[in-house]
Amino acid sequence: MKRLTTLIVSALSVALILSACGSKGTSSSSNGGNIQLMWWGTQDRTNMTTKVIKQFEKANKEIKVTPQFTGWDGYWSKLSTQTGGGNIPDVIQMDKQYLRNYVKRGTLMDLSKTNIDLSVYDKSSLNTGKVDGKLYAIPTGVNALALFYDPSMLKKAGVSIDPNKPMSWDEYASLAETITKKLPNTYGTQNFAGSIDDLELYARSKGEEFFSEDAKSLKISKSTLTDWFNYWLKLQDEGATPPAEYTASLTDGDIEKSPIVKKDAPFGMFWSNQFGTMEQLANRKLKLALPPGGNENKPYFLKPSMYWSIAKKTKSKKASEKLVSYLLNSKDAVKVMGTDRGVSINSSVREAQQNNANDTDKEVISYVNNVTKLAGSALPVDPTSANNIIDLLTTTAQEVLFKKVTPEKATDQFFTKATSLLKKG
Amino acid sequence: MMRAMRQSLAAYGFLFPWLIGLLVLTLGSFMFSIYLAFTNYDLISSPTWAGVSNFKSLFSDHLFYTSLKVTLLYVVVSVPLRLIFSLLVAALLNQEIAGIGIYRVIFYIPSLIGTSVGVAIMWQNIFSRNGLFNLILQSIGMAHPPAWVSDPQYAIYVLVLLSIWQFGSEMIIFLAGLKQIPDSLYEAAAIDGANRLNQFFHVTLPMLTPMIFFNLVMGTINAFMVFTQGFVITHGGPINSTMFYVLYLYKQGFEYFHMGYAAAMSIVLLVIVGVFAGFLFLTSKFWVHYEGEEGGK
Repeated sequence: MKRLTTLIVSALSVALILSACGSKGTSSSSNGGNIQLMWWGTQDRTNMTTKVIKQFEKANKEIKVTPQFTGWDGYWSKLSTQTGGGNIPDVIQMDKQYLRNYVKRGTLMDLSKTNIDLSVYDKSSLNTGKVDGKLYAIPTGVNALALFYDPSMLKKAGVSIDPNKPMSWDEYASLAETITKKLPNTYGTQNFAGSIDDLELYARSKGEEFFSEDAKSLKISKSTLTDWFNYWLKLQDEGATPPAEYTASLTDGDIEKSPIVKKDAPFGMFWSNQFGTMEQLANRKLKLALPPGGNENKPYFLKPSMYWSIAKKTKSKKASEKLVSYLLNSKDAVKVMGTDRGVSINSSVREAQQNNANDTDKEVISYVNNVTKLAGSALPVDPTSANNIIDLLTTTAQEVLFKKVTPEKATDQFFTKATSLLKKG
Repeated sequence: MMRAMRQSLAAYGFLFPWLIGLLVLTLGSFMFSIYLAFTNYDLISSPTWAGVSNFKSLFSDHLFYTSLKVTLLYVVVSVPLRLIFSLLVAALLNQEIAGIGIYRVIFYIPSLIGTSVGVAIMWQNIFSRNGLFNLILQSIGMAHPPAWVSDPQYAIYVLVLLSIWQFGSEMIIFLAGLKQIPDSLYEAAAIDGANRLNQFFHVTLPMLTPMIFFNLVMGTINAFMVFTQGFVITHGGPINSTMFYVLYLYKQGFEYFHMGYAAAMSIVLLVIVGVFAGFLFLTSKFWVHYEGEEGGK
C-alpha cells in the first residue's frame, strides 16, 4: 500500500512538473510566441527560408518560428486539411489562385488593420492582394511573363529578334514556321494552347480579359478563344510546334522537360522568376524578350509571385506581423533570398535586390522593371473555382490538339462548363 | 464457467486495440462521411445541410461519368489479366528445381514496392516519349513509337501493365493452392489418359477455384480503388483518359474544396463495389468448387 502511495505521488509530481513546463511556453509576453510559417517551394527555397528564419529568431529572441514546407502539389491539400482541423498556420504563403477561397471562408486577417507599414509598397501591386476592397495578402514580389529564347539557335536559323520590341502574334507564328523550315528536327515554339497565362496575354492584346472583375463569369469572347485554339492547331499541323503527345507530356511543374530545355525549340514562355532555373536546366545561355502581342491595349501584366497572409485565428498577432515585415522588408532577408519570391514591390528592397544580384538576377530585375513601365491593369483576383477551370482549359486544349473536337466545338464546351463552375462558385 | 469467461475476456483484451481502431478510425470516419455526403462542406468552414443535392449534381457531372468509364475499363482489363498472369507464374514456380525459393522471392519483390510513388515515377520514365521502352523500340527499327503515357489512346494500358506487374500476392495464394492439390488426382487423371493440358483444365483449375474466387473479389475491389498510378504518373490525363474514380474524388475533395460532393462520390462507389462483389458471390456457386463438398458443381 505504501509503495502504491509513493508511486502515485511521484507520478503526480512528474505530471505537475511537465505541465509547468508546458504552460511556460504559452504564458510569454504578448509580443512573443510560437508561430508557424508555411510555404511551398523547391529545396533551394526551403534552405534559404530556413536561413532567414534563423536570422529572424536571433533578432527577435522572444519569438520561435516553426517552419512547415512542401512542394506545390501537396501544399494546398495540406493547408486545407490543417485549416479544417483548426490548426491553420499563423503565417501562410498564399497564391492568387487560392486567395479568394481562403478569404471567402473567413480564415485570413485584414492586413490594413495591423501594424504592418503598407506605405512602402507599390500601390497597384498591393491591390492584387485585395478581395472585395480589403487587403488580405501582401505580394512577396512580382513576376512577368517573358519570352525565353536561345540566341544561338536563332542565329543558326539565320533569324533575329529585338527583345525590347514585341512581335505581333502573327509575326511570332511566321517566325516559328521559318525556324522549323530552316533547322532540321526543331520546332519553332513550344505549344501553349493549354496555358491560361499565355491565353490571358492573347486576350488582353485584343482588349479583353479572361475572368470578369467580379470573378463570376468569363470575360473573354468566344471568338477569341476559338482563334487561340486555331492559332496553335495550325502551327502544330505545320510542324512548327511539337506534336500533341509531346505537348501533353508537359504538365505544370515539369519545366525540365520543356522543348527549350531539350533544345527542341528556341522559344518558350515562362515567368520571369523561372529564368535562373531554366538556364541551369538548359545548361546554356538563354535570353528574355517581351512576349508577342504587345500593343496599345497594354496586354502585359505583373503577377504577384506569391503572397504572405496571416491567419485570422492567430494567437500571436504581433509576432506574425513582425515576421511578415521581416520577410518582406529586411535587407538581411533579401541578401539570402535574392529574387526567389519575385522582384520586390518595395522600391528600396528592389534596389537591394539589384545591388547583390548576379548576372542572371540582374537580367530578371531589369526585365521586370521594363514590363512595369509597359504593363496595363493588374489581373483581378481569381475566382474560387479557378483551379478547376485551369484543369478544364488544359483538358480542352488537349482535345483540340489531339483533334478529338474542332476549335469551335471545344470553345462552346469550355464556355458551358466554365460558366456553370463559376456560377457554383 | 469462470474459466470460459476469463478466456473470452482475455480474447477481448487482445482484440481491444484493433476494436478501438475499427470503431474510431474506420467506422467513425465512415459514418461521418455518410453525413458529409448530405452537406456542403469546403473543408474549412463547417458543413451545412444540403439534402440530396450532391447526389443530384453527380448525374449532370460529365467528369463523373468519364471517371466511372475509365475505372470500369481499368477493372475489366486489369483484373482478369492479372489473375491469368499470376496463375501462370505460380504454375512456373511450383516446380522442384534448385533455388526455387530465391526465384519466388524475386518474383514477389515488385508487389512489395509496386504501389510506391518511386515505382510510379520509374514507370513514367520507362514509358514516356523518350523513355527506355521507346529507345528499345527505336533500336529495333520502329521509327515513330507512340508516346505511351502522354497518348490518350494508350495511357491507361500503361497503368494496367503496372498493375499486372504487381502480381505477387495473388501468386503466393495460387502457389499455396497448387501445393494443396493432392498428387493422387493427377495420377488418377493420367491413368484415365489425360494429357498435361487436360490435367490443367480438369484437375488444377477446378481445384483452384476457391483461390481464383478470392483473388477475383479482392482484385476487383482493389482495382476500383486505384489511385496512386493515375495521381503520380498521368495526373488523370491526357484528356482525362486516366481520370480514375478515386482520383477524381480526391480532386473534388482536396483540390476543388467540394468535400461533401467527394463524400457523396465515395458512397456511390461503395454501392457500385458492393454490387460487383455481390454479383461475384452470386455466381460463385456455379463455378467455385470447394473440396469436401458433394459432387462439386
